Amino acid sequence: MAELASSDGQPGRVKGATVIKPIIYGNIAQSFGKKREEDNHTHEWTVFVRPYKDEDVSQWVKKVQFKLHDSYTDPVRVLTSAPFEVVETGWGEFEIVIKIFFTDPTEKPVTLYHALKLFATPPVTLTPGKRVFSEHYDEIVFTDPTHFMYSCLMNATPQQSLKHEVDYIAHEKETMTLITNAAKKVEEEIADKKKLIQNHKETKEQYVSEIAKLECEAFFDKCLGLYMSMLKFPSSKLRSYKRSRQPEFFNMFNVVIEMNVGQSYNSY
Amino acid sequence: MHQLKFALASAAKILIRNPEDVASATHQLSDTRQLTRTIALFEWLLADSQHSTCSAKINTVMADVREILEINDPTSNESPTVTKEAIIGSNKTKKTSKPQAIAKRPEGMNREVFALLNFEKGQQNVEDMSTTSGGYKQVKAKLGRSRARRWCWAPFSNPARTDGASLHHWRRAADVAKPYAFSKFNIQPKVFTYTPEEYEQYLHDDTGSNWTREETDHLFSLCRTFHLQFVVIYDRFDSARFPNRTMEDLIERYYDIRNRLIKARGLDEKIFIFDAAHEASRKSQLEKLYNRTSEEVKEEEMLMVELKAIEAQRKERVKGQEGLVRLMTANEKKEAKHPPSGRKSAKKKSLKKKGDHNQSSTDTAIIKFPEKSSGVWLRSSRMKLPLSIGQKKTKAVEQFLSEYDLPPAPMPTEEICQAFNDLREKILLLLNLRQLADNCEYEAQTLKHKLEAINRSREVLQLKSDFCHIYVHIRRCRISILKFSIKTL
Repeated sequence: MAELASSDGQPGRVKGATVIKPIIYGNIAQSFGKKREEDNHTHEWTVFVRPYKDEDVSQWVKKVQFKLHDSYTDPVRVLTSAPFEVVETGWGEFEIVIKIFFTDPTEKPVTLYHALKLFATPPVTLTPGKRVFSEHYDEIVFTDPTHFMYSCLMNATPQQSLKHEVDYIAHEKETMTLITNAAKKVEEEIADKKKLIQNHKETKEQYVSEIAKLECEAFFDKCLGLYMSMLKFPSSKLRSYKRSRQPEFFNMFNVVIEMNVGQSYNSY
Repeated sequence: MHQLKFALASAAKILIRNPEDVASATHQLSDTRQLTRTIALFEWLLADSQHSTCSAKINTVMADVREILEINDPTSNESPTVTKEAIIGSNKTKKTSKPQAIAKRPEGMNREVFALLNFEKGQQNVEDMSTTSGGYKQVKAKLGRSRARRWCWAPFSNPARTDGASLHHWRRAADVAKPYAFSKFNIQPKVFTYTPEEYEQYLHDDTGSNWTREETDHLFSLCRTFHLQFVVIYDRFDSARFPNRTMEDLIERYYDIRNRLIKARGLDEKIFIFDAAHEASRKSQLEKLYNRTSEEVKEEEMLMVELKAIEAQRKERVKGQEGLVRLMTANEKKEAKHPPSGRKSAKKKSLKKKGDHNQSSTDTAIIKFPEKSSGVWLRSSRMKLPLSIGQKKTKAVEQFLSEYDLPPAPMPTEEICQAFNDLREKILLLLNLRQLADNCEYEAQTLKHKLEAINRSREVLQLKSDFCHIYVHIRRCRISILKFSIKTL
């Protein structure tokens, strides 16, 4: 999969190697069923980060930092060994910032944001022991990891899948079908719109040419009237000529107008 | 300038007659330069002023002005610069007009606050306050502390003069021995001379402007006399003896001869080339520019503004068209991306097409998702819409997604990530196309209405003329009927 080529590019990196580590992060919460006397807390919750598949995470994760709400004592909790989870009690939801540090400090830490979830949607009455959970799937991607990081990652060989709250494989399939369906529909509409635009364009061009023609004719009529009055041409005859639209007539007036205006009727 | 003078004069008059109005007078002067000059004037007047009661008011106004203009207060402690006021009127004003010192705005106090203090409480009150505290009292202007240096009346000789005249002037005692400083400005330009042989050999005029030997001699003597000041030379040129020459002609002839002499003698001097035609056109253009009337200037400005507007409009239109073209091409590319699946022969072609597409797609892609280089990153970060899309569109896309039961951020596996990004790109394209279609429809509609309006007006005309025909016909008929009836009668 990967070549050890430290000679080219950045030194100390495994060129062309990509290691993907799927992870699950989120929280479970459990209601007490009532307000606790001393601090009004209503829930006990656990926020966690764990690998998607069962593996020795400590091989490549140095520590995980959970940043809780400022109202907690020591809002920054750092865990250096598995399981990476924080158990706390509280009454409100907030965003927890999770930072994962890797064994090789040259690899930058990765930051996750998790909105702590205590209350079920749609809201139900507080029933003690009822578990609420919210978890997300994500993938940490190592492109061109350092040699050290690469060996660490390779050491942690994934075993069988862990059990999670959500069946992610089914979920993935479901999402894929949704996306493909949506894409199909969008494509259809794009094609439709394209046709529509084309149609509108054509009608537009048609209108433009018609308007140009009409305007041109109006101009021509005006010129004609003018020159005819100058030439003392009887207007009744002119009208009948115009009705007939004989080519000789037009040619004649082309010449007249060209002579007087310097512009041909045809050029309009 | 006239405005300035007028403003100053009026301000001064007002000051002398009615110091109360100084404030309004000062605020009318808008120009900064005007204001600074007025301040200087006020300061001088203040120093000389007998109106001890009103000087406080003037002072506050001036402080105001200084504050607005951000000019350092010349009498403040920080900058002990010597002003006329400090030198001339100090003994007078210091004694007689205490309020002046009091009315000075203390360092750090807000201007508006100070104005309130002064006007609301009355001067007496303020005076009392500050005399007791003494904290805001002004320090005397600090003049130079070093000892005065001696000046003496000394004779000097000007090296630039040839007549050896000796004059006297005041100088610092230390500088008496130094040479006269202004002699360095007496620069004598080097004007070439030529022998008759040289003239015969090289300097005959061959440009066709008929310069004779005498005329050239005359020109060069003038050049020597007036140090190449061609404006003067042109003025003194003997136009009675020689044909009329323009200044450019004179300059051209002079430099032509100079260059020829340098070449002929093999001198190591810089050759100047004078382009008479260019100079003449430059001057005439300058003259035209200078002689424009104010209406012409205004018209020109107006035209420039219009031109800019037109240019901006044109750019906008071009931009819109470009966007349209890009959309359409992107549209076609998208279709090319899904080649008809089937036979092997078609596959090869499609492969080629794909290669082509990949190159161009980077140019025409609507969304540019961030390309990650080496390092660690989260798959989900690749699905974030870049900020450049804009909030409105991002919202619209999310709305669209929710119509298909899709969350704004689905489970980020590689496959989904790719498909999802593609989908959103398509959605954006579709949204753009929708807008475009609406625009096109609107344009078509307006054109249609226009056409209808024209047609209607034409129809009316047609009807009118037809009506005329019918009318004429009816009249003819009636006449014939009448005739007929007359006959029968």
